[in-house]
Amino acid sequence: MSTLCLFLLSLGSFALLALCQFGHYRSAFGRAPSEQRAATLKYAGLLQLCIGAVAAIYLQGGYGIILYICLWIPAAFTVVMLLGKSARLLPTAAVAIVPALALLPFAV
Amino acid sequence: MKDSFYRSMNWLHTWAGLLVCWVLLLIFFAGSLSFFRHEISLYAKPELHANVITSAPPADLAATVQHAQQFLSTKAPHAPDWLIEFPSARQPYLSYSWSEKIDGQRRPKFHSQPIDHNGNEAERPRDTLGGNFFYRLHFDLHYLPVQPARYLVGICTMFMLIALISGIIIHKRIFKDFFSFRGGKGSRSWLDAHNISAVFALPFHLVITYTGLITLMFMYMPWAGLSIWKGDADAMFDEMLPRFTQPSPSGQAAPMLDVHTLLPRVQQLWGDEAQIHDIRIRNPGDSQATVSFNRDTGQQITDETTQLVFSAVDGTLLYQSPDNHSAAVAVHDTLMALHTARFAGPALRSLGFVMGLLGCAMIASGCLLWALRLREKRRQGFGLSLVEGLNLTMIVGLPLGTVLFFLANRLLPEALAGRPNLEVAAFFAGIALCALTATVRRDSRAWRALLGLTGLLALALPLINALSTPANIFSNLQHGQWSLAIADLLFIATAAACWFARHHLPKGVPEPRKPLREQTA
Repeated sequence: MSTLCLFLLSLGSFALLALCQFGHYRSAFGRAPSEQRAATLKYAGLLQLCIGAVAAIYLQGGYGIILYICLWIPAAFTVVMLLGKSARLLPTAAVAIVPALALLPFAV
Repeated sequence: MKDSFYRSMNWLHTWAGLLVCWVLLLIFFAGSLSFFRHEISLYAKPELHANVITSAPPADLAATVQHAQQFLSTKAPHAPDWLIEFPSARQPYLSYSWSEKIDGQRRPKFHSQPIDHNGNEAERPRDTLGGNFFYRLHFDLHYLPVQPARYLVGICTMFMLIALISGIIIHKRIFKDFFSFRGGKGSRSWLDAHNISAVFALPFHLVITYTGLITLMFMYMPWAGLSIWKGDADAMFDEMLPRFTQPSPSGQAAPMLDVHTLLPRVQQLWGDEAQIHDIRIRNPGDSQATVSFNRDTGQQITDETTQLVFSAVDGTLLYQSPDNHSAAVAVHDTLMALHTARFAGPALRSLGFVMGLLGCAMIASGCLLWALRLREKRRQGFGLSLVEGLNLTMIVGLPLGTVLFFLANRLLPEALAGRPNLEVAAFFAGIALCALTATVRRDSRAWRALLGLTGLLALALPLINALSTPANIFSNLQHGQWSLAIADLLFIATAAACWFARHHLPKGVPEPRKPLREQTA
């Protein structure tokens, strides 16, 4: 369960980091983001990436942080796949933190 | 200056990568499979698949140890070593082993007897190297003498590290193109594929390459340590990593105590929660006999064994692994653990395997990209032919060789002498077949034919496994033997990947030359 939780946190972070780029945002929403929104998405993505790291250490210590960094790869791949196949789903992936936080009590 | 620096790094990345990429592909491929070394060994021994395999620890540990001691003292009373291995997640069966000294050979021969669910001797598994072949191939390159092979692997690893660092420097849009993959655009798509496979798994690539050098650092650069310990390597290791020194056998017989009587003391020293991975008895029957208990370290990020050693005659505690190491030893141990990943659970291990394959994809796409760029510039010549030939040999040869290795494992008669060597020969025969084909033709027809052959053989493997062994993919799924079921599923996935690759051949592969009539028409 903790693996799934950490994967969802990584997925949300990378989806936000993809959306902060003008081209990917346009693919997802059909229009370019304002500079302020792009910056907000970027910092939200980075913050969520840090939250994931804290959660990984809290859940599984040193092992957790290694697992978390390794989970970035399938998460980033999912974002690339979504961008290639159905970019409109990317905003849904960007809120993956919600199910991740819902699963957190079961992962502890 | 910046432009010149960029260009010099570009040159370095190209040549550091290209010169060693095919050896690196072999190292990465074998290393990725080594993450599942024990699981591959289990798959390669179908005699263990029914009535032996169990993930549960022994219900009565003391009774099991007592039984093992009785068995070994009857079967191999004069063996220099006895080993009792308990079922673990990665090696899910109980086995009693002993070594046998053979005149003229430095290393003793090792015998292993698996025990079935009823505590009886199970059928001895077929002779195979299993996952150990891929593990040793990863740094010993099999046919080469050990020392030169390890130096060669070290040089290739250093080149890989240089290629990685120079690759980061020349990737100008590392963040902007982080999620970009533009398919169907010739060399642009291949560069994207190369970048994605490299950048996504970059932490893994950097760590695995750097720690790969660390694993053999005392061989590659021993001089700093040797100058301090005045050339005495043994003294250096004794001081850095203090270990129990096994006393030589005295030659005087002495009755051994019952090993299971030591279990309460082990629990007292380690706590009730501790799992014992194995028990090793050295010089049994001698007055210098010892019993060592090795702890299952689980998910601790360590490569060191946690050990308790007792005298097997009077039960005196002779050695206990220290709780704390010096900072330098702890750092070295952690780096080693990060490379070997012995601590990894199934999820992390699978991720390591996938990232290893991504490393293969990074290297293969780099090789193909080089050939494609040269062809786009219409630079024909020996260099291009050589690169195209080696691309076909290694990129298709490695999966073909692996499939042939497992086919040989299932189809060769069990009693055949030199069976393990023949399995290994089958692996290299796959690579040799691709190399021979590459000397004749290296175009898309050759790629399609060899990929088709690999796919068909990979698809046949689960079927042959079902027909030649007591278990099959469905029974393994039904009984929760995931590692065995996943092995069959991976062969099916390999067949699917070959089928996909056959129909979506990379642009780096040349099309066959058209007949002159068609060209002029």
